[in-house]
Amino acid sequence: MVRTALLAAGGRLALGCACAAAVVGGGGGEIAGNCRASAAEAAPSGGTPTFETAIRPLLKVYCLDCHGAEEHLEGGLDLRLRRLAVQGGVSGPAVTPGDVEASLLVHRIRVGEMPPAGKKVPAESRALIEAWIAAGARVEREEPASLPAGLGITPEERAFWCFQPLARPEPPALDRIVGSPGELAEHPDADVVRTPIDRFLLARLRSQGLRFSPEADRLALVRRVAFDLCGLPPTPVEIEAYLNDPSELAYEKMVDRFLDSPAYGERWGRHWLDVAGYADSDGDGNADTPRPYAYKYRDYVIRALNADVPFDQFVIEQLAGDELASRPWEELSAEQLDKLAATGFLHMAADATAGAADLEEAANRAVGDVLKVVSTSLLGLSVGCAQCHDHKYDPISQVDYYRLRAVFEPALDPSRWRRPQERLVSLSTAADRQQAAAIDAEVQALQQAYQEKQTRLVAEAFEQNLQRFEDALQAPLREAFFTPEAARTADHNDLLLRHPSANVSPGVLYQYNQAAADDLKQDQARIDAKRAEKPPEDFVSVTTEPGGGLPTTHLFYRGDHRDRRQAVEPGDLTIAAPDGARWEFAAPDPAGPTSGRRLAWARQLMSGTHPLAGRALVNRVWMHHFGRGIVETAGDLGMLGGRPTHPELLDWLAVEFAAQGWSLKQLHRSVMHSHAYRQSSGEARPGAARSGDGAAGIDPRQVDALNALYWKFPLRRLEAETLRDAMLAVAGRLDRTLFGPAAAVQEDFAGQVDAQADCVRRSVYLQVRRSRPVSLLAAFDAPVMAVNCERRVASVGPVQSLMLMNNDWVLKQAEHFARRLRAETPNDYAPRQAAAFARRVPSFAADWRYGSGRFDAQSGRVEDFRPLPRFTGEAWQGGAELPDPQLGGVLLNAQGGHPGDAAHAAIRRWIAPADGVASIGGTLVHAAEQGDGVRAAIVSSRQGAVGQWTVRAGQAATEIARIDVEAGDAVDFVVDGRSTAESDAFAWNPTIRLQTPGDSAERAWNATADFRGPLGAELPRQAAYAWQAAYQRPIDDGELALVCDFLAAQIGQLRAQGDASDHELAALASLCQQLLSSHEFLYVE
Amino acid sequence: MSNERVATGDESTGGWATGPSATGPSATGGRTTGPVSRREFLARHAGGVGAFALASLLERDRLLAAPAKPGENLPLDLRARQPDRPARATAMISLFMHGGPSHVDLLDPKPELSRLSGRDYGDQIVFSFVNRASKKLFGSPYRFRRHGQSGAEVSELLPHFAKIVDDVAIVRSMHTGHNGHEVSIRYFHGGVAGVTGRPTMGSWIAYALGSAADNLPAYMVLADPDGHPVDGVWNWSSGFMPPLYQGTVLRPQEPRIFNLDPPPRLQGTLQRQNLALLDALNRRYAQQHAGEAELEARIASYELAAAMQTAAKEALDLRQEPEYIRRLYGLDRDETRSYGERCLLARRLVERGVRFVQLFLGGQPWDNHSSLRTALPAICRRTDQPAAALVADLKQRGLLDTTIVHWGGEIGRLPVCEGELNADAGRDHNGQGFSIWLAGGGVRPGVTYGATDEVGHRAVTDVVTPNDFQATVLHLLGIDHTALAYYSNGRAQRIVDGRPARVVQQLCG
Repeated sequence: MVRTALLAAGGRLALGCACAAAVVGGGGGEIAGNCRASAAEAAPSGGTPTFETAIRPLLKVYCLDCHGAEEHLEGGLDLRLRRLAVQGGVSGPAVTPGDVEASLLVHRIRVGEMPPAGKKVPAESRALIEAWIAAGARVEREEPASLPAGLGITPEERAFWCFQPLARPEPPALDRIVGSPGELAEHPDADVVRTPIDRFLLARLRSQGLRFSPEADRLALVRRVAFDLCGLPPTPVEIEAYLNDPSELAYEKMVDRFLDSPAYGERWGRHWLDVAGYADSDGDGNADTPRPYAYKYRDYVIRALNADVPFDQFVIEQLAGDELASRPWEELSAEQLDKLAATGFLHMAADATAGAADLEEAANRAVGDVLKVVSTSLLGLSVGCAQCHDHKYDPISQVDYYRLRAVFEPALDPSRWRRPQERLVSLSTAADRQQAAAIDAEVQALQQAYQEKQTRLVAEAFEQNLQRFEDALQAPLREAFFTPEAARTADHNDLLLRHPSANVSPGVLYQYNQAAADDLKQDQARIDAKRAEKPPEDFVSVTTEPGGGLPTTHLFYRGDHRDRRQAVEPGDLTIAAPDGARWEFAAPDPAGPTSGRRLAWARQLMSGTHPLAGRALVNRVWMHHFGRGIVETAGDLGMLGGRPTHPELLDWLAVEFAAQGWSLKQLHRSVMHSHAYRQSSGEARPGAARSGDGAAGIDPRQVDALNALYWKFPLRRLEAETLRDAMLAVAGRLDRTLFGPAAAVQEDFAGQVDAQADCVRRSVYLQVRRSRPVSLLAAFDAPVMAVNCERRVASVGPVQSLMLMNNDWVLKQAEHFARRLRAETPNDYAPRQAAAFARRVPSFAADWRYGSGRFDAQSGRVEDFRPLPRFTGEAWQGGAELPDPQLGGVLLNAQGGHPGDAAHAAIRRWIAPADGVASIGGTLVHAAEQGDGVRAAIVSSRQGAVGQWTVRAGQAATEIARIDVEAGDAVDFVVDGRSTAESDAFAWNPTIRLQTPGDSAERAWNATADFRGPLGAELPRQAAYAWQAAYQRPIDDGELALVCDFLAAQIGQLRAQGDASDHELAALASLCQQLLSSHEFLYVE
Repeated sequence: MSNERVATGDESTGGWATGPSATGPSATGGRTTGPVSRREFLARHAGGVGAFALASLLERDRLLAAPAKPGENLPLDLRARQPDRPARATAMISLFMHGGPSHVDLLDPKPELSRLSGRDYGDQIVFSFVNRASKKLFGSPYRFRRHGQSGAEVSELLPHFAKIVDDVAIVRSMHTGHNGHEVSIRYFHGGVAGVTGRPTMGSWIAYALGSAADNLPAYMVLADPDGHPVDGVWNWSSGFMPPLYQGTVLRPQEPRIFNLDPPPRLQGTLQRQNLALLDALNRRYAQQHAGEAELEARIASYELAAAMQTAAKEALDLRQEPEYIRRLYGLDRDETRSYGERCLLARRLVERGVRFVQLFLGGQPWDNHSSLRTALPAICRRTDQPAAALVADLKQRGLLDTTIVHWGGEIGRLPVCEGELNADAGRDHNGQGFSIWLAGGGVRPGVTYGATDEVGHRAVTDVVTPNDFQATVLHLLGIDHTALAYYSNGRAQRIVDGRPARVVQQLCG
């Protein structure tokens, strides 16, 4: 079969006009809705729609491509201005103000002729246009006499929120928020204002009649902060440190401790890797070639975040680290290496150029993806639509897109494309190279000796073999053989061909002289070993400019790289600078090794004034803290994205972030120190009482079901990696090693992908193979890196449930967790729970009981059976000391026991678990010569004594062929001391076989094998400790009752099915699994 | 590729200047053309309720601008949902014949090709196996006959299919424009040629309609014991949608569904105890966090998972099928048993509410680069009877009315031979023209639609692309492919990703 390369798709299609979908889907899709929304939003309140606010945005989506965007106007019709629409084209006026029916625009839309190609203007949008015309086709202001070519940027577009210059809004004053000064005091628990963030939020809440929730308790907070900052459950030490800290700044100190943890970089690094589209493979079709050095970028990210590298520097290094790293790139210092590794950001996108049939197409696709990563992560805009035509919703022209592309093209030039394997810079040091050269020399010497020896041995073998040929042939064969191949005559060749067996070669030497061949083999092994001493060469993958002149970037008509149009200069998006003040690139330093474009753009981006970058970055940080961004669509702040719930707060954060030296950790602090962050996530409480109506409150769920206003802290499910890491941590297995090559994954038949060799490192280190997403992670919404991931979803479904219920890996972690509980549960943990457990399940031992009582030989019944109260670890007995004051010397152990006095026979009781027929075997032994021996009886609670024996210094077979039992019947193995209990130690190992009707399998018990102490003596402690380990809190009484019943039932069932495992461990593992699958484990308050 | 495409009537629309001149401003259905008062306008155009209509329209617009709802998705669950349009079908079974069944030997007779057999083809051909490329036309070695009332022409290789032609629509004008397997297979599944990482058609259907069964997945894939098709698990990926919508693989041997059951020692009572404890813990937690819908949804998803365990096993138990059914699907013969079992399973799954079932084959048996005379009959013998049995069985149960059955590959094969024109001759890939068939679920029965050129190289009449196919299938399921959207990566994603796609009305009964 032919496996066609991934990217054989035609270029035009493959580049795909991403946003055409929006247009085609206009018949009711949400995008059209949003467009209308933005139009209506901008409309002057109460007035009819005007051209500028409502109509032009619609025309831009459906009409302006052909009727305004390009110099060529279809049908001569230009719809960019109202007066031009009225003026019309070849077919006449398109709009007749005040006359809907006479307006050709409306007609063409109604009958479906326009827009062409099956696209449709949604009914609502059409109604808006009609309403506008009916009302006289109003304009907002006088229209210009002339227009420059293209769509330009209208004042309305410029007025869109995310393009506004960044300014630091003043947080609302307290008296503005609470109205009367006294009111705040009325709700001291809920309306705490700790930081400016609280003021912004509370102002909004108050405006809706809502208020904050009270502060969460410390346990909830430490868990919240630990998962948020480090992605791991807090350890007991971390918990205790916070719970026991009396200082006023205990919370702030706790936050700092987690910020200082190396796990912080792993957690927040993962967030950044999402938007960077991090992957350990190229995404080149089925091969999906691994990227063995991609991890250096991942490690750079983790290191940088842990070191709190200022975020501007962090971004600049990723965009232009190669332009910052001093040259030459040999003997790389740690600093150089960091800067070069950082540029991995620019080639995280899928790159199928390695095996592509159409390299240029594949390279252009990769560049498109890089631009998508850059724009969604740093600009918070999806500029991809402008690849083919002016953006239909945002004021981003196609020229702007290619200007931005020109910033990157010197490094990402499809005509001089560097395939993934061509981007590597060696990390060898001079010493490495020297060592390698020395070894190479040695290898070469060995190799030469080997060659000589081989030649000699082959010649010897030839000579020896030659003796097999007749004398006359020997000389000519010798001549032919030793003539170098190139110089052989036709006669030579013919001769050798006719006598193939004369032609000894190194490859078949073994057939002539095995010893010689073995000798050579050993020499070869020595050479290989020597070669292996060479230090393996390590590389970092670098994005940089190949040099040799700058490419000219062209606009691609309709996004088709084969249809190049005008050349464009590098530049930022026009809309990112104030009107008429476009930011210009400085001319490149002709002596420099690079164009400097990326560095210049990166610096401008991170100057602290860029309206998009600042907002996009802080919004993303906020999103990770609160589960949703201030703008929910973190990758798109534009027209199609969401609107900020708290625009002023967003701006304040953006300005503060830069003002605080771009310290991400400082940004975390300012967010996490707020009361908003410290709120409880618990039950909804009625909101702020409005003055005058007493205690009547407003249910926040009615007002703000989505909690967009932050009246509580959101309950959040663990993200995929955090879930896996937390399971490993709780199971006591997590390998906390930092950094290094990706841990390989493997796929089975059904496509289940797991880490190889049960790797227990943090998930961020698992190989991100685009074609083989780790099943557990994918099930919990880890992104599959087609390009990048701007925002994760949190889905719920049976795939997840089945994974947690039945997946082998999950079950194994549960078992590890159970073993950990056995090993680590402190002896003194939860004594109260242990006692409660014992009370609740007094007869926890299901099938066997150990007790004492009296055997009445006349009635054949056992009377006064009482369980023996004391277990020594080896035996059940009456008390700590023997003989016990009440029960005497009675004891039972695995082998047998000792009776007490006549009223206290030693009784081993078996409870039948089911109806059936039992048979009993076994041998009773009494060894002592002294005394009067023992009397034994087997007594059925249903039938009375079925067998009796007396043994002294001897033994008896205690066999009963058949006893009918019903479930719950007791069969007692009674031993008393006859008249005296002196020297009455006995051994008795009865076995029971039970046949139950309808079940062909027989079940068996053996008193010695089954013997055990009080079942579950440690279980309650371990179960209670499981709560501590999984949930980081003590178990409560209700839960304890639940667990006791569960464990009892589960152990009972394991026994009933004759399970061969350690029942307590198996039951504990089941408990652990349920904890790991439970809400409380999966969600963080 | 879109530029290679033959334009269809649906797409050829006039521009503003060149539109049909007969339709002037006055041709608006006999309505008055004079000045219309604002009041009249609103009465007429905004639903007849006057100014309030517009006001509420604008109000809705304002509400749509509410920050909480940028591009909202359907609920991310599998609850059964009504489609947005009247539906003919409620489920679909796709017998995916990947590898490229040779249409000119199966469903698209070409007398002209037979006549010219052995001569050089005059036109351009794109070859995949350039080293074995030949321009010698290769007339089909198989005879075609007309069958049924519809008189559909079917090759002697498909005797069972020949009996159901009156229930089937044959499409002879499929076109992907790409000859490679992967590029075309991705086009069929994900909507974009050559691109992986997109949700497959089953995902879109599951997303739109949920599962009609409350105890089975919405989207199931029946894997072949010989392995997966090219691209492996990508063929049922949910791409950028949550894994909720990915195909659940039914393996050919135990465990049939991964993670469906715990290991044997934990099944039964033990697992019931486990789930009871989990449920109790989760309900306590949900009570403490009243109003958190996700917690309730997760509790429900555990219940669904547990129900699936029983339901799936019951659905997979073919022993329940009577002997005549087993024979119908060919379970009594070695050659047909494997595929027959899967076809029968597909019926049982759809019967129980699974929305989309797809069958794959292992080892590319339709990829007849050589040995067309032996390999093609062999794979026909394996699949013909079971596939036809599926349609017949669905029909006798009354399920065919609501179940679309699709048979077809991602490409067809070239009219020229590959290698020498001898007994071992084969055919190279051809995405320019090939055939598929559809049955049931509102598909117009007994029609043959579209045509390739005289030798079967290119689709020339009524060309149908995979996007048209998707639009049509979704249409039958009551889904408007232009409306169904999943919001991801900052934009509304749709199955055909903005490419031209038409509902082929002629295929809809």
